[in-house]
Amino acid sequence: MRAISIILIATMTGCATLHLPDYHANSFQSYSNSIVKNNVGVAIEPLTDSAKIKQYFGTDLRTTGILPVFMLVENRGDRSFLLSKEKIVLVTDESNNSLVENSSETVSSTLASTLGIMAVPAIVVAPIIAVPLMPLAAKLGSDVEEVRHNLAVKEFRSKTVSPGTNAQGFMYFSLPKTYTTLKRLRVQIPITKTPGNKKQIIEMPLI
Amino acid sequence: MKSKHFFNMKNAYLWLFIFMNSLLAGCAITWDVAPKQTKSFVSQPYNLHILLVLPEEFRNAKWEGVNDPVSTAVIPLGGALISNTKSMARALFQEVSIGTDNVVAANSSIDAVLTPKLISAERTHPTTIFGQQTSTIILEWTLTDQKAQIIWVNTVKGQGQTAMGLNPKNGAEKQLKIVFDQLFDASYKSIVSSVEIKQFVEKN
Repeated sequence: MRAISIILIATMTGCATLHLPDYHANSFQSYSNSIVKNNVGVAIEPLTDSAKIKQYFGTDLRTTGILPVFMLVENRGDRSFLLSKEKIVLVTDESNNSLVENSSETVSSTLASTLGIMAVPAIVVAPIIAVPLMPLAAKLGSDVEEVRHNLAVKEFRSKTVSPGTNAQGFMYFSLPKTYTTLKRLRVQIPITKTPGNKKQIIEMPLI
Repeated sequence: MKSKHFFNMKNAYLWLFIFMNSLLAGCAITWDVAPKQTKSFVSQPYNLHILLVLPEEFRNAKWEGVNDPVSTAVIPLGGALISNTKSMARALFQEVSIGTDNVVAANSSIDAVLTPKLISAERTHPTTIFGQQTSTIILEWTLTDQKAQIIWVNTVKGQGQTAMGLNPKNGAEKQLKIVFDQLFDASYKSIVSSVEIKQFVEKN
């Protein structure tokens, strides 16, 4: 029993629930990568620093091929426009072909397997062996839930942006592992003015 | 005297714990904890006849996740989402018809179609009973005209947080009460204050 107690205490160390801070947008002017076109202001900031990604997302998303990109869109005109999250894509400079779409569902499933959610079924299979490891498994499971929840809460969402208002949040792009540079990537943001449904595409470099 | 055997009465509780876990392994528990009481809304109707579309995915919405290391919990959300959505729509629009798809007949008196979509239902799971547990539901609302042209879209969030405590089911119930209050308050305010919907009503 003493041995089990020691293992339990040891595994309990560091079992505090993961807490991830909110990401607060800066003023539009403070973003070095921004554009204003036809009264629509777009500022984007890809998070490439591992420490910063871990701070806001609890894990280094880049190691799983996911690039979080913060986006702030302002309506400086007198007409509303629609921003549809599903239509925002990354394209390469050369081909202008759609390279990657954004999807939190894909990101969540990638993360679930990467972060070790399989630790939980492992306990079901072998409860005797796993009893001392339960706190560790609980910690892993808890972290996965926290990371998934946080991804959903911070994600950019579809919205009609009225005059004088803005939309903001993170896009999650699943980059091919072979893609090592961000320099040749561009973000395409289709907007639809309402009423009238006049379409316009704003394109800008990722970095 | 120290026992040489691991299988003795000293370890009875440990073996009981292991036995209970083995019985529970893989179980799914259903918690019917989404708020039973539908929110009431101040009636501020737009002069529109809308078709409120409640797709199958929305009607069958649920949260499913870890309850403890050996079992999962399922929380049905569809019923509470539907009753609150209907109640809110009736307070916000002059006339509300209910449907399951957004096809509007050409000779219909329907002016617009309102469709809710469940974007996300997530819950955190603290490591210990002392930790804070958060439940979040995100809904997307789309209002289109008769020709399916988008008038207005918005995504709203409801979030509730309590200590997980010894009874996670009670915690879930408290969290979801807060979540639904926030979610439908935000939805109501968003529709009431929408410049785009007001313009559509004026033009109609």
